[in-house]
Amino acid sequence: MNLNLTKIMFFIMLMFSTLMSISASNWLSMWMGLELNLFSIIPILNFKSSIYSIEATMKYFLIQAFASILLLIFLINKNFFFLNNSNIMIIMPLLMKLSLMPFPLGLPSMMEGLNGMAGLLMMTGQKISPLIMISYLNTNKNLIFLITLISMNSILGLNQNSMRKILAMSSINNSTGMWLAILLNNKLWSNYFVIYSMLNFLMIKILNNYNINYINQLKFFNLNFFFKLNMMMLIFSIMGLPPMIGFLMKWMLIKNLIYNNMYMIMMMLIMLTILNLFFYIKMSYFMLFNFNLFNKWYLQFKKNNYNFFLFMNFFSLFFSYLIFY
Amino acid sequence: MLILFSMIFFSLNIKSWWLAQNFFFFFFFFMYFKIPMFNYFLNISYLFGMDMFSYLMFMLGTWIISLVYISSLNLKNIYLNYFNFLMFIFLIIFYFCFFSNNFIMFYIFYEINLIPVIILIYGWGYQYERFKAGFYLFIYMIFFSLPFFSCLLNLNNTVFLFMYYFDYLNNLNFYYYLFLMMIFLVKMPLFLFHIWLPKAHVEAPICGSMILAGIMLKLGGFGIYHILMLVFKVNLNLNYFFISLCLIGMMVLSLVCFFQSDLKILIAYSSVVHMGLVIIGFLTLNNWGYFGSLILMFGHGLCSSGLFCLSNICYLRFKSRSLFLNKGLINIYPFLSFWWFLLCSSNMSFPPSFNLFGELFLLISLMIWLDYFYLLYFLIMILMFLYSLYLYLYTQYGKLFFNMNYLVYINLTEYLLLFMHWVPLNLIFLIMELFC
Repeated sequence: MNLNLTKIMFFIMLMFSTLMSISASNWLSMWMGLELNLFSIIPILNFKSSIYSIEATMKYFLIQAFASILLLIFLINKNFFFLNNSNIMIIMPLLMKLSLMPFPLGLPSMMEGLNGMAGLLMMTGQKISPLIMISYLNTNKNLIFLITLISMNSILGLNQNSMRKILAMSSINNSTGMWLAILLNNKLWSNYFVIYSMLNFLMIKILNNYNINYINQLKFFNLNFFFKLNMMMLIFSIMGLPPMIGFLMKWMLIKNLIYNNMYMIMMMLIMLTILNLFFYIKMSYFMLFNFNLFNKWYLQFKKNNYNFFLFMNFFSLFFSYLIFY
Repeated sequence: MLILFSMIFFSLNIKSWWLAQNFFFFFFFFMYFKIPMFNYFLNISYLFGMDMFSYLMFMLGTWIISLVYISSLNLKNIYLNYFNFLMFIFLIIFYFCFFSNNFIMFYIFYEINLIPVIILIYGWGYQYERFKAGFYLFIYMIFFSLPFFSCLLNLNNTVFLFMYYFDYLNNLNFYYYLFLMMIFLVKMPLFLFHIWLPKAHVEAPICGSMILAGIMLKLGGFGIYHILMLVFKVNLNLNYFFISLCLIGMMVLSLVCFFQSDLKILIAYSSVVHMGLVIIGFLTLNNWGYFGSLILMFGHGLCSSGLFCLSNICYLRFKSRSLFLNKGLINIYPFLSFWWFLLCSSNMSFPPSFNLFGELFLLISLMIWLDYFYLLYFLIMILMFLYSLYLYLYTQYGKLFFNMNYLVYINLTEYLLLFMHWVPLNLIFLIMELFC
C-alpha cells in the first residue's frame, strides 16, 4: 500500500482550514481560513482527473475566488462607510460560497463533473465554515424570506436525469434549511447537519459502489431484495417521510421556526419540500417494483454491508431522542 | 405490544401462507373476546388508550387483513416473506394509529401507513399505469401532511396534545381548522380530492384495494372525529361548507358511477360516495351523526372489500374487469350470482345490512342539522340504490361473452371469503348495543 502523501497533506489542510475559520476571533483570519480551504480542495477535486472534473474545478474556483474577494472588500470597508448596514454586504458573498442565493445553479453543474466523494465534500464539508460565519451576523427577516423564495430553484431537479444533479438540487434545498437552522440555534444546526451529511454519505456511497449515474440505470438493475429495501428507505428518509430519520430534521426545524414566530418562512419551506418530493419519488419508483426488466449482462454485486444502515434509517426516529438530547 | 413486535421478526420466517392467515384470524377472535361493552374512553395510560370507536376499527383491521390472505391466494408463491412482513407491519401500524393517545404519535403512524400501501401497489400491481397512480396517491397524501404537523406543533405550545381532549379551544382560527381537517378529508376522500382513489384502486392488486377500502379510509374518519373536538368553535361556523360540498359531490359521483365500464372504478366511486356520508355524519356534530358514521364506516369496510373480492374473482376468470366482458355471469356462475346479489344489496343498504342502520342514523342527524337537506339526501339514496343495481344487473344478466376458451369454476375458498365478508355485515345488527 502506497501512501499518497499529497492527498494526506491536502486533506489535513482542508480540515484545519475549516477549523481555522470557525474558531477564529477576527474576520480577517476567518477569511484566511476560507482561502486556505479553497486552495486545499482544488487538488482534492482533481485526484481522479478528467476534462469534466477540471471544468468543474475551474467553475468552483472562479465562483469561490470572486466571493472571497468580495468578502475581503466588504470586510475592509466595514469600518469606514457601511457601518451597520454592512451585515448584508458580508452575508452576500458567504451565501455565494454556500451556493445559495445569487448563483445557486453553480453547484449542480459542478457536481456533474466530479466523482462521488468529491461531490459529497462539496455538499457537506465545504458548507460548515460559511454557515458558521453567517451565524455571527444579524440577518434581516426580509432577506431570509427572499432567500427561501429563491431557493425554489431546486424545482429544476424535476427536469434532471443525472443522480448527482438531483442530489445537488436537494442540497440547495437542504442548505436553505441549514441556514435557517443556524440562524435560530447552533445545536439545531449541528443535529440537522449531522443527519443530512449521514444520509448524503450513504446515498453517494451506494451510488458510487454500484456505479449509478443516471436515474434510468436504476430501472434495469438486477438488484437484490435487501438492497432495494435499503435504497427505498434511504430515499424516503431524504424525502423526510415520518418514520425515517430525515423527518427529524424537518421536525426540529419546523418546531424552532414556530417558536420564533416565523410562520411565513415555515410555509415557504414546507412548500419547497413538497416540490422536492416529486423528483425524490421519481428516484424511488424503481426500488419499489418486485418485478422489472433487467440486463442479463449486469454483474451482481455480492457485497452488502448496508443492511445495518437500513435499520438505522428506519428505527432511528425513535432512538434519536437518546442520541441528541 | 411485545408480542406484536416479536411478530415482525417472526413474520420473516413464516414459510406457510395459512399459518400467517390463522394468526390474524385468531388475533381477531382474541380481540373479540376482550371487547369492552362500554362506550366511552377506557384503558387510558400514558401512551395508549382507546374508546369503542378505535377498538372496533382495529378489529375491522385484523379481520380485513386475515381476509386479504384468503383473497390473494395467487400471490402465495411470490415474495411470501415480504408479503407477510408487510401485513404484520400493517397490523402494528393500525395498532399504534388507533390506540395512540398523543396526536403527534398518531400523525407519525398515520403517515407510515402510506409506505406499505405504496409498496403493495407498486410491487404487486399489474399495469404500467401504477406509476401514475402511486404518484397521485403520494402527492395527495403528502401535500397536507406537513401543514397539519406544523399546526400540531403550534398547538403544542398551549395544549398538551391529548387525543381524548374533553374541552374545546377558543383561540383557533380558520387556518387551523383547514389544515387540521384537510389531511383527513383527503384521506377519506372528500369530493374534489378524490381523484387518487379510483386510480389507486384500479392499479392496486386485490390485497391493496381491500386494505385501502377496508381500513385506510377509516383512518381518515378516525382522525376527523378526534380533530372535531379540538376545533369545536370553528366547526359551528364553517362546517356547512364541507357538508354542502359533500352532498353535491355525492350526487355528482353517484351519477358518475353510471357511466363506468370498469368494475373496480365503479366500486371505488361508490366508496367515495359512502365516505361522503361519513364526513357529513361527523360534521353535523350530533350524537346520531357520530354513531351513524361509525356504523357506516364499519359496514362499508366489509361491504366494499367484499365487492372488490368479487370483482377480483371475475378478473381471475375473465382476465378483465370490463363490464362489457363480465356480463351474463348468471348463466355460468349461478351461485356466485347469489353472492353478487347479497353484496350489492348490502351496498345499496338493504335490510338487515349494517349500512342501512348507518344511513338511517345519518338521515336523522342531517334532519336535525337542517330541515330541507334530507330531500337531497333521499335523492342520493335513490341514486346509490340505482348504481348498485346497475352493477348487479349488468354483470349478471344479458348475453354471455362467448370468446372464452375455458371455464374455471369458483373455489370453495372464494365462497368462504365472500361468506366471511357478508355474514358479519348482516348479522352484526344483533349486537347493535356495541355501537350506540
